[in-house]
Amino acid sequence: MIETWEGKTFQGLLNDFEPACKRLLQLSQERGILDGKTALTMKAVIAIYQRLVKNVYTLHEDKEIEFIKEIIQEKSMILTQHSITAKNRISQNAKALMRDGMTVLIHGHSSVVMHTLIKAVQRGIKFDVVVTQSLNHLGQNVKKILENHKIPTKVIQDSAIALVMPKVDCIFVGCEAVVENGGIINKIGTFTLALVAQTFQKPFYVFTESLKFMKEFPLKQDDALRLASNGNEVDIENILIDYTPPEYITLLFTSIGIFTPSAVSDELIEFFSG
Amino acid sequence: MSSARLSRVDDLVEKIKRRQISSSHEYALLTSKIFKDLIEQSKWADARQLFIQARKIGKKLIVADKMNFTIGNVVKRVYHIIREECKALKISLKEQNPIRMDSLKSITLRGARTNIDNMENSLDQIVEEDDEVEDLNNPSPNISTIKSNRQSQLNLGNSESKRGSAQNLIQNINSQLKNSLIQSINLMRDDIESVHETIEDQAREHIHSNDVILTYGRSTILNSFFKEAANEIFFEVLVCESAPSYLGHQTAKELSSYNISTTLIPDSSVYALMSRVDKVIISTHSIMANGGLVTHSGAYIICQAAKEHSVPVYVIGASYKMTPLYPFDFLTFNELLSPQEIFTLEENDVKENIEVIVPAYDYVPPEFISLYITNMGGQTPKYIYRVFTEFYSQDDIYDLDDENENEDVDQINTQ
Repeated sequence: MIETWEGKTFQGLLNDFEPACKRLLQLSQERGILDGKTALTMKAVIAIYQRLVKNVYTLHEDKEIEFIKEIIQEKSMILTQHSITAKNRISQNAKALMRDGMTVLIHGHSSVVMHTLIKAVQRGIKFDVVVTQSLNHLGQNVKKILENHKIPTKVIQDSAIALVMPKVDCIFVGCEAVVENGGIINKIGTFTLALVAQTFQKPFYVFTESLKFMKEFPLKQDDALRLASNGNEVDIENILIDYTPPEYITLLFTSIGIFTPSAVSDELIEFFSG
Repeated sequence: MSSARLSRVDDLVEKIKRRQISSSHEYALLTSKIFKDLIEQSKWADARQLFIQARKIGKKLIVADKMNFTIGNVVKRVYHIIREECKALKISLKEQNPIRMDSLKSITLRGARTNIDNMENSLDQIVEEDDEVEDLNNPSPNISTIKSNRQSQLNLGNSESKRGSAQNLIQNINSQLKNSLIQSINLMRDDIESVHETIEDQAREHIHSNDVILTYGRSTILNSFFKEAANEIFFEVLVCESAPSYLGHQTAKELSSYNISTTLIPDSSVYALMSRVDKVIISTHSIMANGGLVTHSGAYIICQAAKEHSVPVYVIGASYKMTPLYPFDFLTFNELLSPQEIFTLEENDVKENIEVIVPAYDYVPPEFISLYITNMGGQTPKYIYRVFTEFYSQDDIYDLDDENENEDVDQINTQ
C-alpha cells in the first residue's frame, strides 16, 4: 500500500513535493477511516518518508533532478522492501521468546503479533493464547485465525484480564505508533492491560514495525488522543486508542532489532537529525 | 587460512570446551589475539573474504561454549570493527573520486558490475547487508556511495588502458583497510588490557569510609577494586560463602590478606543482614542488552533483598562482558550443573525420589541494578544500550546464535 503512494511522491517531487505529501496525508486519513483505525500509523510513515526525501534532497542539492529522482526511487524501494520483510524480521527477533507450554495474552488484532505466533507454532512450539474480546467481537476473529493454525485459543472479556493474569506468562501487543519516550499508542485497553501486567510482574512485549516510530511526545492521555484525531477534542464516549507510558513496557520487538523503551528516543533522534 | 593459525584456533576451542581458563579477561585477550593475527598475517584478497574468514573462526569459537559470552562479545566487536572500517573507507573513497555527473544519466540504477574492482564490490556487499536494515535509521548516502563506487568502477573498467591503474587502486585500498583495521583492533585490545586499572581507579568514588559492603562470589577485578579502596580508607565487607561453589571462602581469604575487615556469612542470612548493609557490590558473568544480568546463581536473591531494603546494588563489569543478547527469563540462558555438587551419592543410598537441580546462572532484571561500574565509567541500566550500539552491529547480534540461520534467511528471501 505504500508503493502506490510513493509513486505519487515522485511526481510531486519534480514540481514540488510539499503538496504531494499533503495529499498523501489526506489519502491516508481516508484510508484510516476505512480501516476503522486512526491515521496515526500513516502519519508516522509519512513523516519518515518526508524526512528521507528531504535528506536526499539536501545531500544532492546541486545535482540534476533525474539523479535525485533515481536515488529517491532506490531509497523508496529499500523502504518498501523493509516494510515487506518487517514481519519476518520481527518474528525472527522474537524467536527465543517463545517456549513450549507458555500462555500468551494478546489484545486487539495486530498482524505482527499474529505473524509471530503463527511462525512460532510452525517451528513446532506448543503454547496457548488468551485473547481479549475487544470491540466488535474482534477476539472471535482472532480466535478463528489462530485456531486455523492449530493454536489453542480462548477468548475472555476485557474486564477479566486481572482474573486471568496470574495464569499468563507474558503479554504481546502490537501498536499504532511508538512515541519518542518509548511509550506506545494502541487500541483502547492496552494501558489497562499494561497496568495489570505490572501489578502481576508479567513481561509486557510490544511488536511493531520500525516505520511506526513517531516523533511525538505525549505527556498524558489527552495528548495522545488529540494526536490521533488531528487536534480535535475527542468525546470520551468514542475513544478508540490509549497511550501506554514506557515504564510499563518490558521490550519492543521491531524490524530493526529489539529495543528497551529508553532506546527508542535515540533511534528517533538519530533518524530525524541525520 | 594458514594451518598454524588454524591450530591456534583449535587450541583455543579446546581450552574453551574444557574450561581451562577461569578468567574472562584472559578469554577476551586470547580471542582478540586470534583476530589480530588474522588481519595482520593472513593473505586476504578483499574485505569480503576477510569477513568470511573472520566469521568462520568466530562461529567456531562461539559454538565451543555458548554460555561463555565473553568470547562471543569480542567476536561480535571484531565484526563490527570490520563493518565500520569498510564503511568509513567507502566514504573516504567517495570523497577522493568525485562523481562525473555527465556520464551518470546513461547508467542504469543497478548498473552492471565490472570484475575489475573486486575490492570495492566486496566493500559494497558487506555494507549492503546493512543497508536494508539500517536504511530507516540511517539515511546517510549509502546508496549514492554505492552508485558512485560503481560509477568509478565503470569508468575504470570501460577502457583497457586503465586496467593497470585499477590494480594499483585495489592494492592501495587493501593496505588502507588493513592499516585502519589493525589500528582499531589494537584500540580494542588496549581497551581490554586496561580494564582492571580503569575500573580500579573508580573505587574511591563508590566506596566511602566506614561503609558496610556485601559481596558475592569471586572475581579478580572485584578484589582489586576493594584492595584499591582499602589503601586509603576503612570499610567492612560481608562476603557470602556462595554455595555450592563456595568461592566466597576464597574471596574472604584474599580480602583479609589486604587488611580489609572481612566477615564470611552463609547465603541464607543475606536477608537478615541486609538492613545493616550500605551497598551491595558484585561482579557478574555478563551484562545483557536490556540492562539486566545473567550471572552466577544466587545473585538474584541478593538483589531482591537489597531492593526490599532500598540498598543500592553496584555491578562491576568490563566492556567485554556486555553481551548483545536479550534474556527473557532465567531459562533463556542457563545450564544445569552436576547434582553431585549439592547432593553426594553417599547420602543417596536411601532410594528416595528426589530431584536435584543446580542451575548455574541467575537472570537479574534491570530494575534491580542501581549502577554498572565499567571501564567506560558508571552506566545506569536504562542507558547501557548506548554502549551496545557503540560496540556492536545489529546484524551480527541475531544471526550468530541461530542454529538454523540459513533456513531463516531463505524464508525471508522467499516471502
